[in-house]
Amino acid sequence: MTESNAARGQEAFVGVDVGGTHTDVQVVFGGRDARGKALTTYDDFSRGVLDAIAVAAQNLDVSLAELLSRTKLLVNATTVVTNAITQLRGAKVGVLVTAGFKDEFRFAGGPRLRVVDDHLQTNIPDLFDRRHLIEIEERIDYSGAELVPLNEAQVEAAVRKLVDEDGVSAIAICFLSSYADSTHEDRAAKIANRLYPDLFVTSSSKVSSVRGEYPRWMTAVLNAFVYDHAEHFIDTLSTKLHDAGLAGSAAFFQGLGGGISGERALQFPLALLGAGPAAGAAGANELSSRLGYKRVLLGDMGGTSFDTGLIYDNEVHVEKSIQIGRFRTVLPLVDVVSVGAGGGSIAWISERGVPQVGPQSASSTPGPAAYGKGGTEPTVTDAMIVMGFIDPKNYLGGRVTLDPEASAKAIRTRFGDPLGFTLDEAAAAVHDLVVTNMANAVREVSVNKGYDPRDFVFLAYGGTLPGFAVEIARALGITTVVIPRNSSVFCARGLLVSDFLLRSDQTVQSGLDSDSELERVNGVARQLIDGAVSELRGEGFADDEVKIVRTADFQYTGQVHALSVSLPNRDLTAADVAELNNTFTSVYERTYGSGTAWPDSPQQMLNYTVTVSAPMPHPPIEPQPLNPTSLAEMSKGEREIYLPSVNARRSAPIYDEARFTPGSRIVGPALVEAVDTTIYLPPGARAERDEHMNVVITMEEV
Amino acid sequence: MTAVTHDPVAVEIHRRALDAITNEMAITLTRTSGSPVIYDVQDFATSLLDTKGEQLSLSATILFHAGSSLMGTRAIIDTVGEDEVRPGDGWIVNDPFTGGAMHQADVAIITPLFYRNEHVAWAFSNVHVLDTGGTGISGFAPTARSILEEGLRFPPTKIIRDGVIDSEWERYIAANVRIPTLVLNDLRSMIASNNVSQVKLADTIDRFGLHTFREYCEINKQLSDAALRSRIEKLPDGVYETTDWVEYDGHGQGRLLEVGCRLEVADSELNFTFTGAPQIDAFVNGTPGLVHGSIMATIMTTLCYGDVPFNAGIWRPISVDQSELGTIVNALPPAPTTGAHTQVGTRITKTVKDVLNQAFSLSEHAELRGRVGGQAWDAAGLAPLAGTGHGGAPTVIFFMDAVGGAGGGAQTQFDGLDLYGMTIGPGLGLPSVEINESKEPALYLWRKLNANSGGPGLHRGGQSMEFAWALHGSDRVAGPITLGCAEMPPRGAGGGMPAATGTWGSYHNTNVASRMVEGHNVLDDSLTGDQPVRPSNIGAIEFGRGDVLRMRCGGGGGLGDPLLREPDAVVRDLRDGYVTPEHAELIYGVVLDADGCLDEPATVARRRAIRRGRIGSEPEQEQRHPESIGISVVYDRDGDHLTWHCAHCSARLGDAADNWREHARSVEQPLAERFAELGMFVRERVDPPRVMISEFYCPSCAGLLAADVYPEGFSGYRSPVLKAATAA
Repeated sequence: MTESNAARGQEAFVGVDVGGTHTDVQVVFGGRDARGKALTTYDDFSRGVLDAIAVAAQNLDVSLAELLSRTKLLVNATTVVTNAITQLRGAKVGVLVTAGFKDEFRFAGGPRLRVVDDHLQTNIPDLFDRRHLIEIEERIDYSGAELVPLNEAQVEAAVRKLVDEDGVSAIAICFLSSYADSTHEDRAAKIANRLYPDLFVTSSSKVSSVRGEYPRWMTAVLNAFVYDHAEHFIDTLSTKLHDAGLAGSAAFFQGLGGGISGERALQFPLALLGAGPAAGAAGANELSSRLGYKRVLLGDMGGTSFDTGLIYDNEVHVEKSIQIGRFRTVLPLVDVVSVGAGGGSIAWISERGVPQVGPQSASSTPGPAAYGKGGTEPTVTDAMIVMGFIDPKNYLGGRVTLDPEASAKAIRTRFGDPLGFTLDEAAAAVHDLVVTNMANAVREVSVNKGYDPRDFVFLAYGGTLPGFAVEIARALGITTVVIPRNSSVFCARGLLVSDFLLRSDQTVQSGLDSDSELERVNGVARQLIDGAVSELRGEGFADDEVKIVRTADFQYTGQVHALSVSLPNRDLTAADVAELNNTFTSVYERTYGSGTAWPDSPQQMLNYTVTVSAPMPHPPIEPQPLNPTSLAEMSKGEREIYLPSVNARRSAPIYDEARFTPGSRIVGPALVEAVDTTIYLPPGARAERDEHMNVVITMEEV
Repeated sequence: MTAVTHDPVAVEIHRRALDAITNEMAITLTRTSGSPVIYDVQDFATSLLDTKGEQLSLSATILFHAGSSLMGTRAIIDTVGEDEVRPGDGWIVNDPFTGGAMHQADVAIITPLFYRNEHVAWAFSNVHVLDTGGTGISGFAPTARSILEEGLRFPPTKIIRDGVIDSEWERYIAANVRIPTLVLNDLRSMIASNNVSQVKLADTIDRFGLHTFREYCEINKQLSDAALRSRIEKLPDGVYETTDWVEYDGHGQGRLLEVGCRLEVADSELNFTFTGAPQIDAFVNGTPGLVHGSIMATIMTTLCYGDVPFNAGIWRPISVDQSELGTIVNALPPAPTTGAHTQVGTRITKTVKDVLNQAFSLSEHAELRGRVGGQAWDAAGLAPLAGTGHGGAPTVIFFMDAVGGAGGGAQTQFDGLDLYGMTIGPGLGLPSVEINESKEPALYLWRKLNANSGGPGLHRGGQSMEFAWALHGSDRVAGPITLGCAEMPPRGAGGGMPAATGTWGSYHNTNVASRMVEGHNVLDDSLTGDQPVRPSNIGAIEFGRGDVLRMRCGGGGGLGDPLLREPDAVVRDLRDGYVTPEHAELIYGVVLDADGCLDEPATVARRRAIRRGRIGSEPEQEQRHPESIGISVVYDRDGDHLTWHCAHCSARLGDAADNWREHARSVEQPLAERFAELGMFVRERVDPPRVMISEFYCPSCAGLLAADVYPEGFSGYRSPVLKAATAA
């Protein structure tokens, strides 16, 4: 639409989010962008991806072939790794483990859930047959000293048995104290690779060289478990996209929040876990940096869940050791907390007579009662319809017909009547509970980690969230809410603004209390950096493109938990130690409260972490000229809606999002309707469209 | 937000806000503690109470602190009396007699919370500190004869002013414990936790207004009370009784000390009466905080399922009569108490499970019948050893493997949880070998699942773990060792069998170093060394370099007759090495063919032969699956007349006024012999009485109705006495 496209050579950037049901695509082509959606095709993922790109191409009036030929970079996020684990369907894995410790996988670091009900205490599922778990004589102690040498003959016999007799296709090597010295694991891996070059071999110190056997071992096992699904995905996508004419490169998004090459992803497929939410966070960080917000709480709410995370000083918070289902790991992942609260979440009444919403969801089948597909349980969407927030005649641009009577009936009979509420009160109760659930989730990622949400901006995206975002912000004392353009496909957009990213961790357990200790730690750091940088060189990046970030986990000697502290990007000297100790103390007291530091206890650096990044090409960003539209021009009329904050029905103006141009302003109470979302502005909220088409909402301080 | 009176949504939001506060206190404790007791097994609790001393919320890490938080805070309230409390004040308490503590190592810090200068609540934090001085380490003094030998004992004592520990008290505490820095840091962690609650509580009250806040506190108590009562009402009125025995062998002779539990279900109330042997001059003795907390642990894990938040309302349907003073369930000073929680306390938790099982079994409501389950091992093996650590610094090795490593009871929907830990601790975890080794001078040789450790049953009990570590990089550590359940095993339910127990042993002058030099790991089949005979409880033992501590936990009790277990499930257990072939054949009647697959005809034949063997003749009736899993005896009503019946075949087992056991076929034998035959571990008693097992079979179908364990000479367990039967 703008004249400058041709001058820019019409480069295209394609973000692909391969979900469980749908494959979403976001394309930026010249100065324009377009969305595409298709069904995910499990037999050959590339077909769904190409279908979705074709839809986007059509929206851009170009052919698929042309679009691909002009694509400089295609980044994709996938759920195949997540699905393999949640469905417990993966590769046939064999495991080599230190003699005496094969049952650690069953022990799972203690499998009991921290809930009181005995009926919820179930054993953790086995990812591999216990007969494919073989103990190997070897032992290294905590200091890295070899106590029992590796029995290489045993390794060879075990690998042969696992492959030839048991038919395993992947092997995880899990030895005690390999974080302190990985020699035994490395040698065992070499033996396995030598015997069977096609075998997928992963050793625990290579997935992450940190202390704590079960989560490290489990990370290795999961990496082996997901490899064949990931390999199938990566191979078909890479080859078929290039066959179809993809000119540029394809990158794969990690849950850590950056891209990697297909080759790297084949080595560490588990890194692809959780890429979708991480892409959302990456997009949120890019957008908030651009808008000048340093501290951002992000929220993403669709049909079944609400995801929230935190950005502090323009860094996305990364959780060092995430739990995948019941499996504890050492996988670092963008810290996103998910609660079962979406449009499909069901409202119900507990045994104590207390109203609840979620986590059960009506999903898309049968869906909310209003869908008329047999759903009788009242859902959040039904409550929104009753309250007048959703126009039943114009849902998803009129593509889905809604039955408001069915919503009212479900809310009344299943929820309102048993509680003695009127219909409106019942719907408002659902609304309030959703707001409470989501605000609690936001507290979990902020307050529980020592951050005050009032210092943050709330960046809200996903199809359902704009209807709740301002109320959630108000419950948390947040005064600014940003709803990005195209909020319903914001995650795919995040894929296009990220960098290539690698992270390595190494347990060092050092008091940094002597020159030799400093030299040892600096040596570890140099090794981590050399490894990562050479890997980036292999990806074609020049050294001056590589950005290195060093952090370390510190703790008081005696503690098990540790907190992350930034390090200077150079060797540490004795002069740095006092300052690092002070920094740790202040991070500690910020996290746990003042007065909690241990004044008399020495500090220890537990882990050293190196994160290296190199820029992937990003589509250009073009601000729009300010061109305010009057309220009358934006108006779609008025509708009676139930305002939860005043517990009454009021007639409120409805505005058209398509006519909400940069520079225009709207004051609540009001609804702003788009094809796939509705923004609710309660009384006291003021919305303005900025030059990047974001809706920025500010509230009077409460 | 303006709240409407009695708005259930607002009341629920209020409840969640209170739970969020105790949860945040718990997070603060875990993250700041340097004690493995905190970060590994989460042996701590946080609670909020109102100024009446009624609980508003409790974090579910260690459940029995439901008792200590209640009694401890009430003790502070009584101590304070009419005196003014000020922001920044704080009390310490760890005395079981005057302060509700479970045992002295569980130290509580209790501080008043304010709203606009008005005292509105109490914050309670409690952690198991690593040392309290005295003859015991980490508060375990298995051979102390009096509480005066057991170390620091604080009745409610105000040691905190203006938010910090009084420096004189700091010096005093530091002078009396082995590792002052860690102990004082734990106290500071608790102050931090209570500080967090002050800020959050004020925020919460801001949202609701003080009047509404208080009103909602009361409403939430009523809601929990009503929810629990609605379940109790579904249990048949009557009297349910059982007995268990505390094992104590620390003073030479091995004793079994009786704990009696009587539950009367009356309408919507549970009335417990506990009786016990006279108190003894050893650390097992229980006090009111312990008894209340140990009862509540079982109530919470079985009856508070789904949606019953913990607050003072939970206590309202429950009454507790501890009967006579001077018994092990209601001791008087100077009885020693440092092991009370793992000795008397766990037997209370288990007896409550037993009597509730009896009541659940006879409920007309499937949901309540579904709560029947086997007992967990519910004991702990503890070896707090002081000495020199890495780099020669003083240390206390206090590994928690034998707390988290115990099996849980079989449930009606599935086998018991392996490594369930103790009933009281949903937050119990298992320590990491690598973390333990990096912090303390120990080298683990192995950790393994114990085959045949779960109680056999239609659903098998959870399995337990054994571990062994050698002293590595230190020349000497020494301390007490205690293990609470070696002789009297955890029980099954509804015809499920008892589980294997635990024990420990030490190896001295071992082959650890030499074998490793030869290039081999040291495993259970290759470890050698001197193995002195050790009691379960010992006051002091020394470990030198290369000496080995080996300890095993017990499993959880089974549920239902093992002959009804799906043969395929037994085959899976065999394949995984969870049971041995002999065990599978003898107790489950499952036989494999030459290829290791299920031999169906042989299994059918074997099961028939076992049934024949049980009653000495061919059964007249076929043994079917009971209507409810894990329920072997039911009652039937013929007009006003109530009779007992076998749940497998409906055969009559006498009038409900009788003990149905008298109408069953029974086989009694020493437990040690029966378990030896089944390949299951139990520590055989040296001193009389022997522990016996009686298996009661239906005379018609040969179904296993119950497997009772008791000391020889015991008069026997009684059937429930249903009100409906006695009324008729």
